[in-house]
Amino acid sequence: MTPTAAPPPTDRQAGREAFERADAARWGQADLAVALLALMPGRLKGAVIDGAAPELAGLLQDRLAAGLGEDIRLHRMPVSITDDRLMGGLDLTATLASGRPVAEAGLLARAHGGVLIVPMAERLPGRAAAQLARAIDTGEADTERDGLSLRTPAAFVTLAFADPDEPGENLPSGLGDRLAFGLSLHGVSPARPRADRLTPAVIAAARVKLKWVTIPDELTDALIDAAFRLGIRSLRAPGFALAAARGIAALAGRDEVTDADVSLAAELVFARRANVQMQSEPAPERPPEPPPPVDEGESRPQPQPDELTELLVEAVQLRISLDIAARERSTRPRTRHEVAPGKSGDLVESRKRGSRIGARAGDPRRDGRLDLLATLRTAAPWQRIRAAPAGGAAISVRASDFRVKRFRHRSEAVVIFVVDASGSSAMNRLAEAKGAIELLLSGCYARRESVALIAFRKEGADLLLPPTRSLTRVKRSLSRLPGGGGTPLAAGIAAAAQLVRIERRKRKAPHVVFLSDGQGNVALDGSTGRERAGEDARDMARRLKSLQEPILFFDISRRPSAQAESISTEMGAIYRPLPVADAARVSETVRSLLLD
Amino acid sequence: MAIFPFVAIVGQDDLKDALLMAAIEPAIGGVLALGDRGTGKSTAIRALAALLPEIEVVRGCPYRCLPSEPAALCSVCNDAKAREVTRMSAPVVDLPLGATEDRVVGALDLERALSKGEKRFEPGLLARAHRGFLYIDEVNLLDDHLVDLLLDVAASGENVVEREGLSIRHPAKFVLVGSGNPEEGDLRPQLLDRFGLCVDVRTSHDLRERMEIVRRRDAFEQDSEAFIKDWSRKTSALRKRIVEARTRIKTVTLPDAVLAKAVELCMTLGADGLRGELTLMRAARARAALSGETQVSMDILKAVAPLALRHRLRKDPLDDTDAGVRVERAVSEVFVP
Repeated sequence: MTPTAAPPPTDRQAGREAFERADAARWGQADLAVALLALMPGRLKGAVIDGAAPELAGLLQDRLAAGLGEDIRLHRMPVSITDDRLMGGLDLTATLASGRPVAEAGLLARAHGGVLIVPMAERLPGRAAAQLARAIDTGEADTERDGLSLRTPAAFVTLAFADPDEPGENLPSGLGDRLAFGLSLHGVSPARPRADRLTPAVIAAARVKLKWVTIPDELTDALIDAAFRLGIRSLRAPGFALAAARGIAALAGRDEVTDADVSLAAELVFARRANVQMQSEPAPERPPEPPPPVDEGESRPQPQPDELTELLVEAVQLRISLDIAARERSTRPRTRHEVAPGKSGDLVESRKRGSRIGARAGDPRRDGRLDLLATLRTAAPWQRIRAAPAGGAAISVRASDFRVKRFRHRSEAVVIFVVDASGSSAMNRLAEAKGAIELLLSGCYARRESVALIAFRKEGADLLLPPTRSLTRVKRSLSRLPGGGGTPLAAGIAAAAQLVRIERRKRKAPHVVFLSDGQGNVALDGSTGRERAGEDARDMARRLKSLQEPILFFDISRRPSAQAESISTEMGAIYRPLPVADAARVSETVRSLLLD
Repeated sequence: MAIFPFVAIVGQDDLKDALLMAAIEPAIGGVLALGDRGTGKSTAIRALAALLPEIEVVRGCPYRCLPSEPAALCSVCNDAKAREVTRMSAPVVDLPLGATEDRVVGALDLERALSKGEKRFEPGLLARAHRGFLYIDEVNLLDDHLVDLLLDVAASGENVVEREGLSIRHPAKFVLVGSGNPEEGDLRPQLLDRFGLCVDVRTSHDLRERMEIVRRRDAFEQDSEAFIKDWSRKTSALRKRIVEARTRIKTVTLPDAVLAKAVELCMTLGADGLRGELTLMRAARARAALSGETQVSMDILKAVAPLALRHRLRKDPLDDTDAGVRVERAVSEVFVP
């Protein structure tokens, strides 16, 4: 691959070729990242991979396993994994058979020395992500449960795959920060050239070499400085980049790290972590030049440290814009009938029951529902010393064994505000919505609601605030709210429905609060025209209704309007006129009508 | 896994100070470290394990009893023949997420009950943490009832177990350390002010400092053994300072004028209740002992005030000001020359 001048924007053919070259380069980098993980698994820990086609994901996994050594096993971590499966617990069958507590290793312990694959990592619940994060930090899985105390080695390479088609679903950030690389493989097709340069033999040779690789001080400084300038606060990132740069040099058979190595390491490590604001800037119209080749140590004048930092920052920014462009090309704009697909895997479970968070000792007649498995687990070790139960039952269970399920009750509500941010009064309305959110979060501390904010304006709806319980975060992210333009009400409702679905999958109980006058003038496809826009809005409202979650509709027209009321009825919402914006009133009404 | 030396940690002075003060005066009542990820909260806390002075215990004692005052139920320490005093490193227990109550407080020893028909208590994590530290990473992810239980035991210094036909109490004096990221959800305020000190851990914005942090970490990752060895003299020196401060704190005096200012400061801030004042006093004494002083000075009081008080202020949703800044503002008001 040789760098060529960027094609003129009018030449589509040349444009496509440039994209293809860029894709090939991205695949080459993914391959390099995997080789680095195989080379220094304990240091680099793993990668987060976006938008990889299944064949590509499989290919990367296989290459990683091959690079790590022979007979390396891949272990998959399902998002729905329970604590005992993850961390280890009592082996029920063996315990019953032997009559004494028998421990069973969890997934993290079994993955020791191998590869842990996390599909759909963005849906991993916070708790499972935290447990995984701790194992990544300490190299051990320790658990204290069910009368067992286990401490087992658990060092593995983690490949976290993120499903790209749900905006607002982010990888638990504590996890992303602990894995060295962020790879974006949108649009890279498995048929594209495969880099086979980094064979297991090359990796093995580099492993020997690695100890002697040195890195000049000015390169180290430039890497750390660049991370800082890219808005990366975590100090893990520059550490990873330093290690990766050494690895890149070792793979190329060199003793000293060059500025090209450092630049490549920066791209691999920093691109995903760089400040979000920068990433949300529009993608460039035409494909930028592919990044320069890396493994040619030509003699050129060594740039000054500051210059080098600049170069690194630019390289990472280029990578980010390439990734964004690729993502936008590969995820087609959705047509109006695609907006709210009922994705398989939606939870059908009634939200009234809340999510199960464990079991505790108790009397099922008084304290709720019996947790059969937990009860059996409690009774199991005792079987040998208990008299055989009368009536021929196989297991003797006593009252003290009873375990009841503990649920997270309404504490897990998510209030999704959907706010009309169009037109001239947008700022005012958004400010009141922000005020209401802050009041909700701060007013009642014992509760555990989280809050999200979707604003619709111009052509579409944006998730301005992903669900959060943190007042700190609300203040940080809503300090400058955008507003103005047309009124894409339908897009707002569609975005709300999508977030409702995402939150339900996380076993939260979503509630939706609209602040709108019910008069959309932008249709789902971005076209203007009241009729089409109104039709779309009603369509989306019915879809939202079908999700059967509580909705509150504040009509913010000067005087109550028939249109607002009709759209509110269409979505099955509670309708409340709110002629004068008033944060306190909004938060009180939400609390009394939805949450209490 | 090798532990990064406490003395090699760059910056994070508030957190390091708070942990050292708690190590000198456990009655301060725990440390809560709040802040962004990747700032080395866990590193500092886990580093205590290799720093704290060793403790004297009776060999084989499951309760880490102080040899001079063994727990009533401790069969090892109360068996005069078996008593052999030995030293061990002070425990820093990392509470695993998802730990169940039986393993935290202790439960009936099942193996024993099954094989010998003997009813014996198997001590849990609380016993293991006695005379040391108990660390909860991501305290906001731990079940509320467990957090409450831990705070109760930390405050009373005694673990009372009533379960499975057992009725047992044993000493469990430990410093509870919690960490959390406020971006992932605010902590319940009633939980907040039960921690003695609260540290706001920030990422350093000083490039030199950041470079030094990354370089040291990198050197540690490259060859941890050599790195630990390079810092061992400083580690020993700090350990010695802790031991001396523990003795000195008994004689540190608190002048009336300083006490009056402390009370005034708490009143100005509306920091609720006596707990704030008590913690402020204890922290000031520990800080004085650590710096080799025999008296608490106004400067020491000013220095520890944010740590002891920032989490006791009433939350005002309309005031964006950082709590630490509010404390500092009150400090400058109260301390007008």
